[in-house]
Parts: sequence; structure tokens; C-alpha cells
Amino acid sequence: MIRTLILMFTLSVPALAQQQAIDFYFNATELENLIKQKPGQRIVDDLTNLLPERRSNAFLQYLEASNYKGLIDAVDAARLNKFAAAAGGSTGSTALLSKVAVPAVLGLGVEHGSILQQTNGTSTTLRGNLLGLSRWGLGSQQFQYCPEVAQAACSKSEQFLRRFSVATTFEDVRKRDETVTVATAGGPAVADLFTQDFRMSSWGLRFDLTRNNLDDPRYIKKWREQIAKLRGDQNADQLTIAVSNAFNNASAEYRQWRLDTLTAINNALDAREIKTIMARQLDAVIPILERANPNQAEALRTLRRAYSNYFMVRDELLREAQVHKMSLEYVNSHPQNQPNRSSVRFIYSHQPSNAPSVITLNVALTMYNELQTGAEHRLRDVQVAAQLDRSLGDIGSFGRASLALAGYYQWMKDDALISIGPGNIAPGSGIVLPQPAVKLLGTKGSIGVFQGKLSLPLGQTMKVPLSVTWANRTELINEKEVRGQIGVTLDMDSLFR
Amino acid sequence: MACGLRKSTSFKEDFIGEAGSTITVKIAGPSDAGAEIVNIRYAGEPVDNQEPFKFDIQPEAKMLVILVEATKPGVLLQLVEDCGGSEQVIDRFHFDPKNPARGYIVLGITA
Repeated sequence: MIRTLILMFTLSVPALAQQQAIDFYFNATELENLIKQKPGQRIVDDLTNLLPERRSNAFLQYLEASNYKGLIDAVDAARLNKFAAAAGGSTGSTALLSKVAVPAVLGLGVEHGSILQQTNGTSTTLRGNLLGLSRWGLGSQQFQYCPEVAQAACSKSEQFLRRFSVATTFEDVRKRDETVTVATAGGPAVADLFTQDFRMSSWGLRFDLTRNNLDDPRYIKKWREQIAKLRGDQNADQLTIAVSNAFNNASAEYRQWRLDTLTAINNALDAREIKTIMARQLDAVIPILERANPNQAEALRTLRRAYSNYFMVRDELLREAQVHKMSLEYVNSHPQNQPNRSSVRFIYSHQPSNAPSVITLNVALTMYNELQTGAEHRLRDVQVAAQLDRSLGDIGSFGRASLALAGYYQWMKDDALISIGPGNIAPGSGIVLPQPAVKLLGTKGSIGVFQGKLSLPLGQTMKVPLSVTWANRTELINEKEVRGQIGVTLDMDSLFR
Repeated sequence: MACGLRKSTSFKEDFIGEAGSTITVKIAGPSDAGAEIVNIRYAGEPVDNQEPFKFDIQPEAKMLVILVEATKPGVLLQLVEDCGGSEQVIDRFHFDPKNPARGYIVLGITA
């Protein structure tokens, strides 16, 4: 696997050397066909598709490829290899690298747009796919963005890298006992996640095994449902704000530039001359935009971040639209007061075409990261789970209700373990333990859990989930449990849309 | 009802319309291409996030940004002004999933 990745990185470099910055701007078959038209055959209306406000992401790529200072400085500073070398070299301390450089690098990734930060309730997750991270670390010209709906047009290495995603979740220990879940776009800065108020609860890798079939009518139906979700997503809002700001003023000088550009292109002899003119005009437009907006470089950096975040959210939503979906996931969990462990999980989901339902199946294997005192094996448990989610349709003007039925079986190879640090009090007692200990609980064997959950909407921002759960026992307590829950979830984002 | 936007012949902007008039736009394409407007913003302000997408033309040149998605890359789409009983195509373009947000300059003039 590693060798494959290195080979891909190596092969991508010569390809880059042969491309000029303007080629990144014209990177679409339809545009190549458009500029091949002879003078006199061209329609100026069609030529407006070459303007940067129509192709703002291509414009960013052109600027990066042509070393526009406002973008290249940030990218250069964010290069993983340069940053790590500087941090390590200046102090010789690996502690500094882990305590300062890691949040700083992750923060730069969030700033750059290659890492998406999402806060939900008490946990904050940083996510990215390997293609986006490679684009950030090695340069966006070496690896082009590969959209979910246009994978066939991407290179083999881009197709492969985009199917890998990584995520790490941090838990806010101050808020862990709160029961109301509030989804919010804000949340802690990346540097905050490394303070004592937060702990990393897990990190993981996922590889998507399936691809979309764009011609499947069932996919198009699901696609529309996902687009409706995208409409409500703040990242779509952020993108149009960013495009608007990048070309905000539509100043008289910019409008004159438009006219000059379209006139010159319309009179060009051939495609080669059009590219030469466009490169010259794109270079000329930057000072015009900067005169209209002194913070133009910042506006362009914001635009780049907005595109990256939007693409990440869009691609994830469209992946969910697949009728059949399979993925393989590795999660390294750090549960509080329990030994660290790793899970490998196979996930399959199916969306039947004739019902608003999703069936999800999971099979997982969990191992302790280290052989624990008193245990003979690292294998902890095997899990099998199945869930049916079904939309129940709209309830008046309140919104959409949903029903979920789930079954879960877990086989524990040995008794569960919990870690107790020095000076801590043993659970259920007042005994202060003198040294670190690992306590065995009489909990090996089978665990079965069934849950029914009804989620009722109360307008666009609130939902009331009602659930009943039956379990023959839990992981840590060997007693039957029947539990009913009622809660309120509040989506604060929707208040500001 | 007459349409509110007309193509600019100077090409310094895309469209010209009378300031204060209300414009309704939508996206059209082949039935199997699933074209949809995801987000729309005019003069820096959000426009309704559901159809019909309406905005009032403001004086001077302002940016209209339309975020469009479709299931098929390269499919030919049309940006249409709904004129209430009739409609006019104000732009034709091939859907580019790498550049889904398209900016237009609308010049608002006073009568």
C-alpha cells in the first residue's frame, strides 16, 4: 500500500512539469472545444464562460500554479515537510513538535480547506480525504480535485486517493455530561483541542469500496434528496459568499477588463492565442481586483477554503446517495477509563428504490492495542449490527419524521477491562487505589441490544427523539436493562440560514 | 408579464435590468441530468433557498452568484428567467463539477 502511494506521488511530478499554469484554467473538455472555434464562428455569449467569475475555482488553480503571492505564501507555509522541519530543527524537541506543530499544522489545514472541522454537541471532528490532504501537502497542481460525480475523468492516482478518508475526534471533557445535542458551525479553534479541556476520543481511516453509477435512475432520485440537504448546509452558503466577495465590487475597471478580454479572445486566431491572451489577462486582473478590494488576497484564500469545504461535504452527501455502498473502516478508540483499542469494520448499506429506507449492516472486530494484564489475547470482541431507517414523511408543516429499528450483537472474548489511574477511586467504592490497576469485570460472553427510535420534528430547528432500548446486559455491568429515552435536539445552524 | 433582464451588448456586464424590478430564475436541463440550484446570492445577500428564486434588482453593478449541481458532468444546462407566463434563457453552459458556482454581473439602471 505504502509503495503504491509513493509510486503515485512520483509519477505525478513529471506530468506537472509538462503543464502550464493556464492549462489548469482551461481544464474542461467543453472549454477546449469552445476555444477551437475559428474567428467569426465564435459567439461572445459563450466566451463569457471563460471569465473568472464563471470559473472561480479554476481561477484559484491558475493563481496557485502561477505563484500568486497571496495564495502561495499560505500554501508554502502549510507544506507539511517544511513546517515539521522548522519546528524540529529550531528546538530539537519532539515534544514541541507534538504539542505545538501538530495543532498548528492541523489549524493550517482547516484554514487551507483540506481539513473540515465539524462540532456536534460535545465532540469536534477533523476530517479529510487523502486526495485533499495530498493536494495541500504536495500542491494542488500535482493532484487535481476529483469530484464524486466525475471520477471517470480523474487520473488513477486521484481516484484511488479520494476513496481514503481520515478523521480524528476530540471530546470536550467539560461538557460531557450535557444531554442536549447542539449542532453548530462554530466550536473550538484547532489549538484549543490540544488543551486539557479536550481529549482525543478516536481516530480512524476509511476506504470506500463502491463507486456511483450515474446512469442508475435510483441514484438520481437519491441524488435529489441529498441536494436538498446540501441546500441547507452552511458550506453552500459560505461558498456563494466567498465568490461574491472575491469579485465583490464589479468595479468599473473590472468591467472594462471584461470587455477588453472578451474582445481580444473573440479576435484571436486560434486556441493557442486564446490561452496566451487569457493568461495575460488573468495576470492583469489581479491588481484590478486588489485595487477594488485591499483584502483581495484574504478573499481568495477564503474562497479556496470555501470550495474545499463545500466539495468535501458535497462528495460525502453524494456518496450517501449510492444505492449500494460498501466501505472498510479502521478506528483507534481511546475511551476514557478503558484500555485503548482498535476496530476493523466492514459496512454495507442499501437503499431500496421503492421505499424511503436505508438498511445498514456492520461487522466488526475489536482488538486491544496492547496485551492487557490478566488477559490472554488482544482480541476483545466481535460485533454484528443491522439497522433499518425509514422516513415516515412530513407531519404537517413540522417537518419529516423518521423511524429507526436496530439490532446489535457483541461477543466478548474475555471480561471487559477498565483502567484506573494511580490515586483514583475504584468504581462503586471509596477505596483509593495506590497504583495503576486494570480491573477485570465478569462480563465475557454475548451482549444483545435492540432499539426502536422515533424522531418527531418540531419545526426546522428542533426534533424530539423517543427511543426504547432493551439489552440483556451492558459491556461493563452484567444486568438486563430496559431503557426509555426522550430528548430534544436543536440545530442552531438553521436559525442563521 | 415582461421579462426583467436583458443581455448586455457592451459585455461589461452580463445582464441589465431596471432597479427595483423582481427577477425569478431557475435552472433547466435534460430530465436525466437532475439539475438543481443549491444556493443563490445577489449583491452579497442570500436569495430564498427554495424555488422560486427571486431577487430585486439593485442600482449599479452587482454580483449574482448561482451554485448549481447536476448528476452528469458536461451536461448542457440553461439559466432561465421565469417571466410569469413566459420565460427566457439567459445563459447556457456545460455543468462543470469543479466550478459549480457561477458569477454574473447584473447592472441595475433607474428609469
